[in-house]
Amino acid sequence: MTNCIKCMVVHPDNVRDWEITPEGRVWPCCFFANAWDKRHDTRSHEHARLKEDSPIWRLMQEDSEWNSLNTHELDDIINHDIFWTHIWYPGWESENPSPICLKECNKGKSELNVNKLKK
Amino acid sequence: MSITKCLILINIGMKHSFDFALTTYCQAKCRSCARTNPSTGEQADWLELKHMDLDVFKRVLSQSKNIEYDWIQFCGELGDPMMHPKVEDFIVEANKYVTTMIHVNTNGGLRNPDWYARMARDYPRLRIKFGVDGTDHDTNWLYREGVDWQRAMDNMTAWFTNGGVGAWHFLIFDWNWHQIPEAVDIAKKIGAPLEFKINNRQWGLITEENRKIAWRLLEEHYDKLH
Repeated sequence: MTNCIKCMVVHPDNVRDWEITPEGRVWPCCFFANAWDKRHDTRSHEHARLKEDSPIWRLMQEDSEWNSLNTHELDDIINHDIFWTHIWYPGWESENPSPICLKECNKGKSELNVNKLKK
Repeated sequence: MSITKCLILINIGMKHSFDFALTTYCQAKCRSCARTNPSTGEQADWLELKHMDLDVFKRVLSQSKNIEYDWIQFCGELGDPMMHPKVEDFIVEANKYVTTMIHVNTNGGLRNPDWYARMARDYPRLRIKFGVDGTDHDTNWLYREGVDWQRAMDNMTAWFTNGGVGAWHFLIFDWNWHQIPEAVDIAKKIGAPLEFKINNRQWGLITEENRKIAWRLLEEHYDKLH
């Protein structure tokens, strides 16, 4: 295993955060939401990364509303297999983690606080 | 055991927190924000302007009885929640389901002190984080272009002096680090917990030399470091 993804929305006290866009799309974090929001930006690296995420993109093709609160219950969306396999430890520890997780949260990259001043 | 059953077992006892992005509207043109074209400083041409539907939010909360909420946040990626004309209704609704805290992040420049004073008194579980990156209008404008700094300070003062909970969130840029002592003084006067963060994006990125001086100022003036 060469990656070390430290997800910023999974907390040690058994809490997981989620991001919901104004149109009602549920995403595991702001990086995914941002990638989705930028789908009309043809120059967006973030959206390109979402399209490179095969399991996620396959879902979008099969059911474009799979994570939409307009058509699905919140319970069902956050209990979707993909959020407990691919976007979860089995996926992060695999040889093919989500490109967004790898880019944004490998080795705690997303951490940002004043303590970094010390370094 | 099926994978679905395993997943349900993993999820048992887990709490969830949700950031509902209420809107993509914003009065500001923060240069590093995803909604701003970094070259022109204007709103990105791909941006869809949209508010979240309050009825969808109500339905989601009322039908999600199996979810144990840790907290609900109104922040989002592309807009300021205070731009939503029904933001108070969202807070009222969230207040029915969340037993811990409701978080709101704002640049502070929208609505008025009376509104903030009333919200502070009526919603003790509401926690507001104000993003204000300067101790005067011109300095704050260097990043938060479009925000009325005086209005933001008046709103923040009304919030904290009426017992509101939250923080003043101050991003340190190359142009505002020298205001650290003054920000600490103002925060003490209005009773606002002050949180500093270093901007790590290119726009306004602090130089190595100034970062060292900023750090010294934080050590001298900012109690939280000790």
